Amino acid sequence: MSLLTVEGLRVHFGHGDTQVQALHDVDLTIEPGEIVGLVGESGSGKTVTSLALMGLLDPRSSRIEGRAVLDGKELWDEKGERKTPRHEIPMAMVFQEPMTALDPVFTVGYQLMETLKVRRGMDKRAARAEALSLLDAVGISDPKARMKAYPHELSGGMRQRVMIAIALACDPKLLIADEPTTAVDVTIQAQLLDLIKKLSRERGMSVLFVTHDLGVVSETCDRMITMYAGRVVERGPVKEVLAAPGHPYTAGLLAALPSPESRGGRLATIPGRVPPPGDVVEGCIFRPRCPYAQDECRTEQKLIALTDTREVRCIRSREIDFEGVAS
Amino acid sequence: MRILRVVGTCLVAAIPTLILATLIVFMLQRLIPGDPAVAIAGEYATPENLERIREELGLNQPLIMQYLTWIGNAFTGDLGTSFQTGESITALVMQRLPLTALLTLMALLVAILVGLPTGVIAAQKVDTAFDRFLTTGATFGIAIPNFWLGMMLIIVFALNLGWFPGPGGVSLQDDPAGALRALVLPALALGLVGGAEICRQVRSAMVESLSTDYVRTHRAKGLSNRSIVWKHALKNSSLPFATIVGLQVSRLIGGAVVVEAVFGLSGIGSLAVEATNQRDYGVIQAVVFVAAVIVLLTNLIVDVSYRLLDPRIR
Repeated sequence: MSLLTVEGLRVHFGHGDTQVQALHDVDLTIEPGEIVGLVGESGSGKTVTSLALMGLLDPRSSRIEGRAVLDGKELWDEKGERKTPRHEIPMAMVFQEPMTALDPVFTVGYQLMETLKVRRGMDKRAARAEALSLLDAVGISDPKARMKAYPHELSGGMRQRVMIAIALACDPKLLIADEPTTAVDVTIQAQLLDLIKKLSRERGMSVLFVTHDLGVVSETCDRMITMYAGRVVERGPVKEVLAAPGHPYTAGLLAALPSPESRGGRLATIPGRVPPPGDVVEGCIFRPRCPYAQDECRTEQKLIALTDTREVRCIRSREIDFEGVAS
Repeated sequence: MRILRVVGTCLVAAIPTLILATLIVFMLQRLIPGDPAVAIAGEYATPENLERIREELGLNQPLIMQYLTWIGNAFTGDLGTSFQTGESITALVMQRLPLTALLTLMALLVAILVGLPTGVIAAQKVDTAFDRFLTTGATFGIAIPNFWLGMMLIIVFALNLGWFPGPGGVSLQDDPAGALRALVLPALALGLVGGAEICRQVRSAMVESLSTDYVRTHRAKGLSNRSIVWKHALKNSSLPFATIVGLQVSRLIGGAVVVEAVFGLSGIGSLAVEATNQRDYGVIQAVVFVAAVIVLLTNLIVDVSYRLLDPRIR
């Protein structure tokens, strides 16, 4: 059985006439221990998807429809209201911005121990011991001293490690990592990716890795899901998708990657931009930007199975050989 | 150690402020028309008599000498003697100060008890009818003059309902319990306005804290809303809170002059009013000196609290 099953996830923002739909029937599954990349440009809906799963969207300005089951627990009921208290759901999240995601006026140790008390019902002593071992597990040297440190006394990479330690304190079966390496420099980025992979392997923890960086996906993930304008447009095993993408959007993202061969030339771009939520596009949502668009694309596109493991939302996928990259 | 150094620095920095404040008052009151020697000896005194009095009081000395003598004595706790009664001013101030101190403390308590919870609650219900009701109420509260509020409180709660004693006749030394009861209405009159200001400040600081990334992290961790609001967001809002409470203290001491007059309380505020009417320079100076010391001490406490509340401030 899948660890996470999401069916027909829709998110609306606003009320009445000004209401816009940010997610359109997103389906996804994550198996135990699997690392899944959620890929797309800004505005594609990847962050909204993860915030919706975490229950972090403001209920006053948003509405959730659809069904999500994590580890046998329904995340919300038909009205989109939380069914299980958040601290009982084995899911945690690491955010993009390590500089602002930690509370500036409490020590690292306090923030960790507080999580352990809420999540695992530990007393102060047990929480302290576990906090030390978690800081050690995320590769922070001299955990005892760091417990007393305030976030501003740590570097960006260290703060992100602390964030990961706090996420681990939730004892998650699913870790959502929302561009956790975007705000740190490249060497730290590689270390953090290795750390997340290692923790996933050691703990059998699934990871939903939200990123716009296909390089990160190819290094880290088992499967990938491409999102565009609030819809899933392609999904499949990372190696297969990158070698031979089935959707022109995934192909476009791949072509935009710099490579040694493209040195000196101009990088490819995808013309146009992601349509803002609320824009009506007839037929395939990617049609206005697609170099392969034809009349048949004016009909609504459904996800079609290419193989047992691959699905794509493009009617012309079988006719065209999109260029991939060797990985 | 760090805190001690901060206290030291602040104390040293406070001295010029204290000298400047007293110097200004010293010079200003010399500009008020009227001669203390005439006030003491009466209008028909002989010139010799007046001269003798001026000499006794040191009024024939150059102004700057008068000031230096006075400030030097003040730092050793000797505030001089009253021109009018010949009493020790230090004793006079010490007799009047406790009532004002108690009044100010009670008013500050009222201000915090009213302002803090309403501000926090309003911040959680931003842009709802409840929030608008509270912020509008707070704006009205800030606009109400405390002497008018004082009179209204006397009319309703002392004269009509009879829950509290009317103005006058309060002695902290003779009847502490009665004095405490008599101070309730003055404390309300003085503190409610401050409560309205604290409410507005706390609300805006809390709105900002609650929209930060780290609050989202706390939610993701599964902390209860209560813990997020009353522990994390509130501690992050504590700098603006400490600032506004510090400002309130100086405002309350100023307001005490008016409120003491309305409620007929013989505190340090009414002492200043009496002394001004009688050109009793020494007493006015002493009151200003004491008020300045209190305000500077408050600033010191606020400064130290910043460093205790926010580890990023060194």
